[in-house]
Amino acid sequence: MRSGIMASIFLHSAVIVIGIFGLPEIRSTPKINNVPMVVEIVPLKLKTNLSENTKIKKSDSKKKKKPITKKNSKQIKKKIKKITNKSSISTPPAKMQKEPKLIIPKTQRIKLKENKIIKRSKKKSEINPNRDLLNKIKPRRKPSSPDRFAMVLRNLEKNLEKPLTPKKKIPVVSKDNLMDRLTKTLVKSPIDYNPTKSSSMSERHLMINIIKRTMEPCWNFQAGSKQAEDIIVEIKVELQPDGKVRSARITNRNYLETDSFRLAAGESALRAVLNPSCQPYKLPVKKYEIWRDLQLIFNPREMLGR
Amino acid sequence: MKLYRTKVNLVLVTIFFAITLSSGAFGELRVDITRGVVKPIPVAVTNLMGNTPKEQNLGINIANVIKADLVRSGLFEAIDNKAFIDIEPSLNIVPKFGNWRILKAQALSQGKVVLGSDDQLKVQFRLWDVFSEKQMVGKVYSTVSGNWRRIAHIIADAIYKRVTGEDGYFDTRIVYIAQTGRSDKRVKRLAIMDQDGENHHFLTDGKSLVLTPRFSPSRQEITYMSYHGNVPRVYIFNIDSGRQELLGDFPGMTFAPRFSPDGKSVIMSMAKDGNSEIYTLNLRTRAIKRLTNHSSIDTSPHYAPDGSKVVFNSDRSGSQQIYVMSAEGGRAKRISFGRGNYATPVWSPRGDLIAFTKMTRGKFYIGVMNTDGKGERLLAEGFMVESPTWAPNGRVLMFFRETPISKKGGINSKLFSIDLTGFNEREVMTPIDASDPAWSPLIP
Repeated sequence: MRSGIMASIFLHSAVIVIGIFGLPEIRSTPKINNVPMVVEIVPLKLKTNLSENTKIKKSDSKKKKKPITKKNSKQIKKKIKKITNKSSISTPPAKMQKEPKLIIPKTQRIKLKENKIIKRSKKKSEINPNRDLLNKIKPRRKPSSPDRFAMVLRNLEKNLEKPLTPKKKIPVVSKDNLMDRLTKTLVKSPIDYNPTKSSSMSERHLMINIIKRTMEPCWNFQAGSKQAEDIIVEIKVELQPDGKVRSARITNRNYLETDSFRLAAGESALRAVLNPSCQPYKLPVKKYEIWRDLQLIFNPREMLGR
Repeated sequence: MKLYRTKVNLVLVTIFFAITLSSGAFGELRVDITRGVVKPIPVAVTNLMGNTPKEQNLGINIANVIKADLVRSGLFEAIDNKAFIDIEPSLNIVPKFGNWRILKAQALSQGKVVLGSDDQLKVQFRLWDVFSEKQMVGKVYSTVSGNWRRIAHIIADAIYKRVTGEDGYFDTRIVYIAQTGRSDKRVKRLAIMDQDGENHHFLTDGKSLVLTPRFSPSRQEITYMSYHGNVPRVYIFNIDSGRQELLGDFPGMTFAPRFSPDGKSVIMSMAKDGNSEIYTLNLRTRAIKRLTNHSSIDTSPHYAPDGSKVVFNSDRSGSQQIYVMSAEGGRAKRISFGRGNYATPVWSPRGDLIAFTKMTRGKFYIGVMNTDGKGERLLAEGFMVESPTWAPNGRVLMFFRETPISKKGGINSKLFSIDLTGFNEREVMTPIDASDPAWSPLIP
């Protein structure tokens, strides 16, 4: 009798535990805390899993060939100091309205520039041989002639508020954080991933960003649809180990089939997933178990400013 | 026995855990896609098949009209026929989707034309989703051979609706005022054409001044004003039958009336004793009902698509603004608050937007706003742009733009269409100058 009761209790609790952890609707997805990223140039050796076969080493070897002359630069610096002191004394303070100009002979001027460049390159090559990869991550400049679909809904009223003076072209630092820029670089040029080496970034967060960046160019969104901002499409995707889509299906089809706009939005999202132009997803094979099953939520609110 | 039972239970529990873990129910990676692109959808439209040279020629013409309609909407991009790798010889053969994926086509349109001995035209049509490899639409149409253009527009509407979710608007007509002559001796005639500019012809001879044609939202009828004998008269003209009926003399009227959504009455503004108010007129009983009673100038009324409300233009606040009131009259609510003057409000057939003309800072604009006045956006601008009219699907607007030719005088007046997103502004080709467009409903 007792053993039966115990077994019953044990089995019931097991079912409850399975239900809590097994059913995705009950278990809330773990929140990914967005840790603020410190913008700081760090040696890539310590932080990524770059293999030895990258192009970085070749460029470093080229830079090492340039000669370095320290002595000349020190001498020229001393000369500049002397000249500047002399020039400041010669001009009378009453007449002086402009700042004193440095009178440096042309030959010396040229040499000074060359030495400075050499110094900087040498320091870079000595300290950080992987600097080229970081140099790829450049702040994006605003395009001069925007694509006609760059803004989702056009409004000429913004043009009425523009100032008459022409704007200077100032390079704008991208709003993307370091995570997004690194993700872009990873998507463009795949890097051999070695799971035995540790990574400081959240693996899941990085994979999510890779999937987002890969999917965005293929999601052709109907901006003019009625109540477009309210149409949310949920698609369950199963990926192959090579990153290609094995299967995809809309999971909230019942909701989407009530309206022609919703159905069109659902099919548009499904086409984005199945589009071969956005495959394969460049995700680490060793972590296939993490990214094998995806739940994609297509939500246009952010694009429509809601 | 007891031991046996406990062992069995343990095994069952282990199996449960194993199934749960292996299913990976809590291993799904959730990704929120919040950004996409807004660009034309690539679609492949093959020439419709035919057995005889006449059928094949018709097939090419129909395909060209379909392509032109889809591209003109701004939402589609037609892949060049020269890039097609392999075209299936029969509609009953499932396409090789790999060949179309290479061309980056997302949808594939195929069809077949059969001409009967009695001049009957039968057109079969299929639309395929290239990525999911499924048929989206399959239809058969039949008509007389002279109506082949309408079949092409109907097929284009079917593709448009299936891919975008929007109702189509290609099987429609535009009525407008065609203008010729000097600016001081302008000759104005009523003209009609298909929405792509084909099948153009004039409805009046130009002897009397004609103004402001309005299309019924439910029938192929228009109202327009004619100054015959310098008296403004309103006529109702049935395009299909050609029958014209005088609605009445309306002294003090400057715009033709607009139809109610059910087509049974018209709404209009009339000036009496120097005061312009809004009235409705029952077309069957000819009973007139007054909706506004204000000392201001109330004009340009337009029904909401469900017939429950009316949007109109009034200067009761001191400047021309847009107001909404019940279709029975009563209290009016102001919805426009931007800088400038607002005029000619028209309610979208979709019911979600109101288009208008705005005058501000010395320029004219065509804009849209939500029915509560929020979300105002200006879509088109010009020296003079006016008279917006909605396509029957509420997605595309048409208006006219006047531009001065030279300092001495002379005006160039053309029709333009634009998507409600503010993109894809295109000139609508007309043989001569044009103004005051009115968009028909879908041809039944």
